[in-house]
Amino acid sequence: MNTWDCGGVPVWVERSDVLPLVDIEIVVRGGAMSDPPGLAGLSHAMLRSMRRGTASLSAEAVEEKVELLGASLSTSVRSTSLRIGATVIRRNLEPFLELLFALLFEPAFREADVDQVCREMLADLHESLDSDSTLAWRAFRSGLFGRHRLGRPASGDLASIERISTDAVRAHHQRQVHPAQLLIGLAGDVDDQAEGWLARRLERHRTGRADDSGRADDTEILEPPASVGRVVVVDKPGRSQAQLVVGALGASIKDADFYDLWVANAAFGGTFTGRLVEEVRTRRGYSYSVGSRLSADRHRDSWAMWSDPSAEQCLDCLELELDLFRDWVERGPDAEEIDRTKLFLVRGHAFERETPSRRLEPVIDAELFGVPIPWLRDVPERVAQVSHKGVSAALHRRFDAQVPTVAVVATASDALLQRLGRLGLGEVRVMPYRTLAG
Amino acid sequence: MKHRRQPSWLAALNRDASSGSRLSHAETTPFGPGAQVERWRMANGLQILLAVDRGAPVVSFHTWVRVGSRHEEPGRTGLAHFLEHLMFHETERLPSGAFDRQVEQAGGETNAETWVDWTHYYISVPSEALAMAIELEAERFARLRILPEQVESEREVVANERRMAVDDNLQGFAGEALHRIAYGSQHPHGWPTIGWMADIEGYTAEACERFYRTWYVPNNATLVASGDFEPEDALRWIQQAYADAAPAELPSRPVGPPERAAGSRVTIPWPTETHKLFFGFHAPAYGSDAYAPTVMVQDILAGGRSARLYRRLVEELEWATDVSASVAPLAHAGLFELSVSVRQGVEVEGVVRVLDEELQRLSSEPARERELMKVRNRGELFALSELETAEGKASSIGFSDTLVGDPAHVFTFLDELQRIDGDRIAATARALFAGRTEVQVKPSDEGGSAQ
Repeated sequence: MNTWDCGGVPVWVERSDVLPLVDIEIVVRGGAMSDPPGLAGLSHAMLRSMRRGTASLSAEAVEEKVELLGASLSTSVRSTSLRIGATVIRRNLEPFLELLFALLFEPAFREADVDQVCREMLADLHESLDSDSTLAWRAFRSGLFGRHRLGRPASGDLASIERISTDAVRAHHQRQVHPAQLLIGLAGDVDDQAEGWLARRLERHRTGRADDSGRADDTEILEPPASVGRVVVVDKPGRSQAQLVVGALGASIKDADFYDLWVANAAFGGTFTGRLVEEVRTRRGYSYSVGSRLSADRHRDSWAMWSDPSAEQCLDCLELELDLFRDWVERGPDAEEIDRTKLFLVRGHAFERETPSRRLEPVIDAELFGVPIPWLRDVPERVAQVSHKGVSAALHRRFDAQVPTVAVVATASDALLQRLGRLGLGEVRVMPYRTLAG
Repeated sequence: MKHRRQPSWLAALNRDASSGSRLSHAETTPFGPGAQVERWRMANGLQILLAVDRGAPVVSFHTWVRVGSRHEEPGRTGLAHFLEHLMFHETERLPSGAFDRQVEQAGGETNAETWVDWTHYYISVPSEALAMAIELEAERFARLRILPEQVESEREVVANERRMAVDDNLQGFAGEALHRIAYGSQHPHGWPTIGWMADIEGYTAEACERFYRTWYVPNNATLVASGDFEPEDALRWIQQAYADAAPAELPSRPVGPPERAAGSRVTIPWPTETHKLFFGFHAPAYGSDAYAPTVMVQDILAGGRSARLYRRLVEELEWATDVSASVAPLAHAGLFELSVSVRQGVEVEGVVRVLDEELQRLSSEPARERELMKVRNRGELFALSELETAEGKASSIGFSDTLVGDPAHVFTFLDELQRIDGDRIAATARALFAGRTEVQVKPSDEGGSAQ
């Protein structure tokens, strides 16, 4: 992998000429946690507005050009980063990068465009109410993180979006999209000529900026409040099944016990043969979709399990999952489960190296999360060091004191609410599904 | 260009083989620049497609069985999909759970999918585990044990899958209604691949066993291996593993025309904030000459943010949050689906009027050269993107071969896109949009039920 620095922007290039395609990953340090108070969704609005053109290109011209060049372009907002991902046919790499950098560094942010973006975001919030799974995860994060920034949806809410102005978007761009905040990766059919072109293009930007100093990463890495356990019921009419998300605070990717927990999670609900899938799906047929996930970021994020049982079996499934979780933490996995999972993760790592973009990803993430590259790249070595004893200790350390947070999307009935109340997880809060738009 | 070639080691492989497991090389098909697919046949009718790629030390092994929901019968809908679930349980030599455990211990991944024309299984593993993957697939292909208790637990899983994908899912519910009214509930394209809930509740171990014995025979399947492996080794393992599989006569399942004329419309109340519109148009089969121009029609209308309908309804008028279109790649005439999520406060009639205007414009005026260029480049991007992994490559090969008998059809398709002009697209649109079915979802505080 080629690595170089241009005007303070670290660039990684993973070459492969197997296919005439190039994947481009531009990461901006920041993300939803950098949205100012009262302006949740600002990063999202900024990314969408950037796509609406430059001084010389209208929104229509941008989209036309992307498609004419045989490219795909997507953006996403995470807690501590903004991501611009693209793939382009090799023969059009340079003109596409030219377009991409123009959108990145020289967006017009016309008032009419920003206003339209905000109207689209409001409409999307209403649309998102159609997805029960989206509602469940939104309610879970709101329950787990409360008023902390991590509890705010990256897409904002009705009130915060109404407050977003063109000036706020421009100021946010000025703060966020700056060489000191950027990481750039290219993977695929890239040659010397393309790398040279990229270096010159970045250099041009650096010398062209009026002020490129003094802007540090302004994303505070806050420790979220300790979970006290909350039950949130999202009431939606006519549901034949429920969406369940159950979880607690997890770990930071920087933590020494991160890989202990990562292996623990894979053994519990990260594979088809994990204890959670075995008990919930294979043995009882409670849910088609079931699994667990340990989120990885610079801050301590969540660990959660999810399922979608029928309305009738919702509480039986939830009680089973809570029992499985308690048993997992108290008694821990057995040695055979850990050994089996380690084999899966170590041998399966070959797939994480299969494509150039997969080889690029851990390198960029390591830089973003502030950990040495081998910490994320050399996963087999990390996993090999995980022990049964270490896993058990990590589970106790992280989860002993936590009462799980529970989110349920279902048609709320008295029987459901009474039984939820008897679980001893704390107050049961009922939210009509429409209120989740904010 | 295709040609025949018999490698020197073939004679050794066939020397002690049973009569049903003798191998012969059928053809070599170029698969993009510098790659090819080798087709082999076993005497029992099993087809084998091998695509070597040394890019990474992994291999993806696929089984494509030419049975899907169109091979079912009314009253037993969803059986092909249900059997796919049972295939992960128990065999004569493997206790329940052993299949997944072996794959995972090798560092692999396995899954399956079922649609109208086929059922597709795959195991992706590090290269050194290919022999194990072949053995596992052959074992469940020939020696599956279907027990009543497994049928019971899996029935719950599939019922929950249906609730998730259809009963509580606006798009799934509307899509199912659209197919039912476009084809009629007794037509194989009119019932859902997952099956009606009443049918799922009625499955028996005997019915599953009968379906399995009828369709899971070597002359109804194609194996595909893609990745880093030695063809001679793979063929030896396949030959040994599938030696006992006996061919059988396959029942005929003709697919007739739709049961009723297009033009029906239903309204569904749903707990949603905004109206949604779903339109269905009878489209050409995947292998027909008209399929590629139909895909171009789809892309010009709603293939990206600069597509005509997206541009007008989402960008200019701001009457919709999204517009999407798709054309089902099926062996027999499928459905071209067009859907619009209408914004709050917008009149549905106005949206339909704009939609009709754009369909009419595409039917009467040749598409511009820039639009054709966009579609061709987007097609190339998506086709190449699918070939990045061994698993993606094997899926492309198996899918194309199962539907049209050409493992490299993805490249044939891209060539076709280059030759189609604006007049051809207008003619295709005229034929396509001659009649339609329609489902409207209207906001309500009740659950879904078609009216």
